[in-house]
Amino acid sequence: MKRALALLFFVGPLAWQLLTSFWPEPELTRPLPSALTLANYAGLGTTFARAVLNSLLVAAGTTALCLAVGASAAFAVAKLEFRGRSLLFGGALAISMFPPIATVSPLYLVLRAAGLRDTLAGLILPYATFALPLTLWLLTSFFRDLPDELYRAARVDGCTPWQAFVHVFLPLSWPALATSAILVFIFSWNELLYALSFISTPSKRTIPVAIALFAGEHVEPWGQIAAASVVATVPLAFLTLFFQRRIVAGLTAGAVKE
Amino acid sequence: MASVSLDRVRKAFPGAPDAVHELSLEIADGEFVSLVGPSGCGKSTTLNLIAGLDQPTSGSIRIDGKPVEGLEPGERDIAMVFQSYALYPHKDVRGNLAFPLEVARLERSEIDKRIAETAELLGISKLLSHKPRELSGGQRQRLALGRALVRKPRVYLLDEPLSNLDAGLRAQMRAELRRLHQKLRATFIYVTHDQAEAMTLSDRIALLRAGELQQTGTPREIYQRPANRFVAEFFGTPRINVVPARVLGLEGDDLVGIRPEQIELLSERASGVLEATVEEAEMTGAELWVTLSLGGESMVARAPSDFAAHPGGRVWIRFPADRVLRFEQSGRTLSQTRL
Repeated sequence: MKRALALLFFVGPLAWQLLTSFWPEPELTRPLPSALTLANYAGLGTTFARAVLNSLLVAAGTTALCLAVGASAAFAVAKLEFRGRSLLFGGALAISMFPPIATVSPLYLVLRAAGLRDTLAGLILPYATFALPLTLWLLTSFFRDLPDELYRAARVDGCTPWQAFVHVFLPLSWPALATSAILVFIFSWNELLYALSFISTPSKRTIPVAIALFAGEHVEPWGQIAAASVVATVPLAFLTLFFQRRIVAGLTAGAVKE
Repeated sequence: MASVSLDRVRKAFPGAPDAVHELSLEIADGEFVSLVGPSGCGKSTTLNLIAGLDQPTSGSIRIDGKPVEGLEPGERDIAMVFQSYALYPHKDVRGNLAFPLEVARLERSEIDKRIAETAELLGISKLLSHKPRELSGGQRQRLALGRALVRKPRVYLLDEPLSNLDAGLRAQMRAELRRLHQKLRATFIYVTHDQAEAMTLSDRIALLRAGELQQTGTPREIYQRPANRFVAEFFGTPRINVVPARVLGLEGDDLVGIRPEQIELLSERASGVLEATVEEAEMTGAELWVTLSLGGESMVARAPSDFAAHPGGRVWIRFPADRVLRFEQSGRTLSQTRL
């Protein structure tokens, strides 16, 4: 009984959304639809398809950038000794304390000066900056848990610190990389504020912006909004399922510790 | 092969006493030297300094006569075996053995040849495609050793390599290490906290305490002529008895030391013996460890296993006067004069 309630709590809204997306628009106020239809999906049009593509590009780009920078930085913070190590770590974390709304106007000016306003790269860069602290935090604690002796063994075996990172530590960090990837991807996939503020060309809009702008002055196309939400959710669900398997596989290997 | 020489090497970490203090040590080409001491004595730090994993605060290190300052660990022609083995968990046995050679960009054919040789030597040829997690403790140990051997370095650094093995396996690996050293004729520097391991393996032992070298010498020298009370008490099981001289009927106010195996127990009074009371008797199999009470002090003596000793009973002891070590009043240094 408890389980059923919990399931209802979590799955209920999703199911409702799914149902709404197949519900004929004019019948939305009725208790039950007379028939199910694909019209809402068909009505999304090429502009929305473009938004999906943009979102994919932005989220993938952010994830790639964030992991590339975050993984090497986390490795350095966890295993190398250098001046200003804690400053770097603390500084990165401090970034995440700014409320995003406070950063919109300065970021806008910076991006405009850099010629990146109204470009997808102009979204990837700030997204990566804001997702970086989380990535750094996650990966640093993961690398710290890997034995120091492994690093020293690689060094004695002739590796430079970079080679030790690439050949020994990266192959071991799939579980942590996958976890970070999911979180960063979801963050950039859902982000609305920056996307709304920095992008003006309709063909460069991301999904959250596109959905927010569906509502016209006099109409609220609930059916289409529901359909768009489903389209936006499905890739995330698949991504999570896919990586989840990797995470579990990585954890159960347990080869690192006795 | 190469000699290793440390000249007044000092390693200080911020806000702590020196981890290694002005350590000077000459290790000859092909020698098996153990660095021994209680935990925190600086022995592992010393090994890391030789390996180049850490830089000395001052002083210099030479390998084969050449200063190694500024050389990366990989450029020092050393190999290291770690306490935790530090095997690469994502690589199989072959991959682990190949890795140092691949990093050094050796020819594939040469790599394969060396892997085959090393695996053969250590008896792990059948395990080449296994991952470390599929290996037993002993096999992991061999693989860790193999990863060092495969590089044919001039100096081997071993950091407590046997401490994760159970007792039986440890004795076997000890013999194997000894055999390997004789076969390879390379320089071995071995870190351990286990005095018995250092005794049985080493040509020479260096005992460290709180970053300071206490004594270097062959196992025999260290055991028979310890430089101070700390050295005397570190080696030998059960540990040496240190009591005021008067307890043994000797002159002076100094402390004296006598090893348990030097004390002869008698069940009857004889001439030139001291009377003692048995506090406790521990049967170890081959012999009996008897704790005695004598002049208000406790002492341990080793007796044949059939010796009759009962707590509270009376026994008589005698010992060769020339085997008594005399410590200075401070308890720190030992006067070399014998009694």
